[in-house]
Amino acid sequence: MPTTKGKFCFVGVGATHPTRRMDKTEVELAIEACRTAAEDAGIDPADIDGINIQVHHYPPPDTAAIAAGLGMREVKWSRDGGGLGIVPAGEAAKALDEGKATITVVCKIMNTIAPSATPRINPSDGGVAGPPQFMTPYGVGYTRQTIGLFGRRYMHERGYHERQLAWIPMVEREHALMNPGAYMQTPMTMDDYLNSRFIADPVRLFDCDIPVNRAVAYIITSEERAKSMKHPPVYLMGWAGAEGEGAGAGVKLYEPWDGIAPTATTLYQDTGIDPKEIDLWFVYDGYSFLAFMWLEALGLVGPGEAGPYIEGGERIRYNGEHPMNTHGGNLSEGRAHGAGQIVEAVRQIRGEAGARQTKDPNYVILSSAFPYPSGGGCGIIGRGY
Amino acid sequence: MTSPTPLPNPETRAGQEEMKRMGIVPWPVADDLTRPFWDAANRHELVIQRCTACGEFRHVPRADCLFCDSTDVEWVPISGKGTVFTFIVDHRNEVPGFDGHYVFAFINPVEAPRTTVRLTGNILECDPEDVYIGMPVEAIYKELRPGVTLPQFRPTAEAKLRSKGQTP
Repeated sequence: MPTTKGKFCFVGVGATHPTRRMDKTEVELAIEACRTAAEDAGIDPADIDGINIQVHHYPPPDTAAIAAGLGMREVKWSRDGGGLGIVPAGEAAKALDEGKATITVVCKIMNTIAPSATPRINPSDGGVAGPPQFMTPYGVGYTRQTIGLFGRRYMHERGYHERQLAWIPMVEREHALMNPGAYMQTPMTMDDYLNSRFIADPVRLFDCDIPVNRAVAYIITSEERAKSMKHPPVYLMGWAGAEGEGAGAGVKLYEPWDGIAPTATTLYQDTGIDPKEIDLWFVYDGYSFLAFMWLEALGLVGPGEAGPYIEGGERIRYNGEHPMNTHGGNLSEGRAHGAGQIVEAVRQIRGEAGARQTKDPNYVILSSAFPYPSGGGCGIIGRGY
Repeated sequence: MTSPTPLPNPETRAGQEEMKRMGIVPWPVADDLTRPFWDAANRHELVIQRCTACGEFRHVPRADCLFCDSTDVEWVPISGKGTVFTFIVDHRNEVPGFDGHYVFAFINPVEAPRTTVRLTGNILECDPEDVYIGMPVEAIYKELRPGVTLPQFRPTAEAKLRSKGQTP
């Protein structure tokens, strides 16, 4: 179990502006985002000695070129790929804890060449091998389709309806309009949401995150080093990642949780923080349905309470009880697989979130990817112990 | 002399679109784990795995039992009758070989009480608007290409269809 509780801090964040056209290479985007994060930390990028580059799906990362472009004097720790959202931050902290590096940058690069995982169909004969053989010959090959399968079942079991779910994309769009770094800058009404075209009913276009080209980076180091840097330290209070069956199985055993996911229980025990103490809910919103399911899976609301809680939007607005994804999320800022949530969490804790700043937040909870079958990953960023 | 056209890269969006234009239709490649299922389908029969240690059914096929971890398994014929656990109606047609509004569903077979046992298939001979969670269905068999038959599903006579003014 990870035991980096309270020892490591986010000291710098940076991101390139999301675009739909790919006018820079992945390497150029990554160097730009990492340099911005270094400047934000007040450090020379040459002093960074750990680097984790993640790409979306294809092509694979060119970490050597990025490290060279940053002028890193020494690459003590290097890693390609990793999990989504808060999990790579936790894993970078673990590597720091093990003495593998002293200052690490994690950078996620997204592109529109391969904006999503694609069905594994053999292009020479159409054959589908492995677990997807039970899905793709029947016309399912994309996560945006399987999300609809579990989203529909979840809503059915809980008695929720689309006019409740709509508030997640709608409020996140309001937040994006207050974020100059967000891709989407037009408002979304309930009619706009309900009229957005179906991808795979019940999944609509506005239930899906926006594929963009961008790089998002953050720098992590020890608490002692963080205290000597430009901004007050923002702590990784703790995190928990799920073991068990990961993505890849053609038919996953999704079961909506009746109660808190095991990774969330581990997180609260490890950090000693009660879910009721958490101010900001940066639940993973690659699809609106996931953010919806995370609220109960993290124990932020009880089973059956998520629909009524978000309905109307006021409780999850930047100035409400529990603001959700104040940067606009993956849905409206642009797809970043959760890296955008980390950047915004750091800004909120520092008090740098501008028009969408929440008053004196102590803790932000972040979750990664799918709350099922094994509970994904989750973590808390905050002011410290 | 012209060089051969390179195959599309299935990892990219452009590659998937090219496969659509080429008319590729995806089909299941049976392996040692899944061959009994597809061989039965070719005979117009349905079989699923049952753990012989604890008696739990499972589908899709796997090497070990989800409930007791045993690898002792038998293949059991089932009737093909079941109910819709959940479904989508695809509108985007991004998978090569598929057009129009089609339904993909997880079906719970009547023989297996747990909803973790999920057959996969399209719902045919049915307006997509009529499909509902809990709808009773039965298996039919469609040859996709020589030697490859897909189990599919259609509503049974007991299904309540909105388009006929019935209430599910």
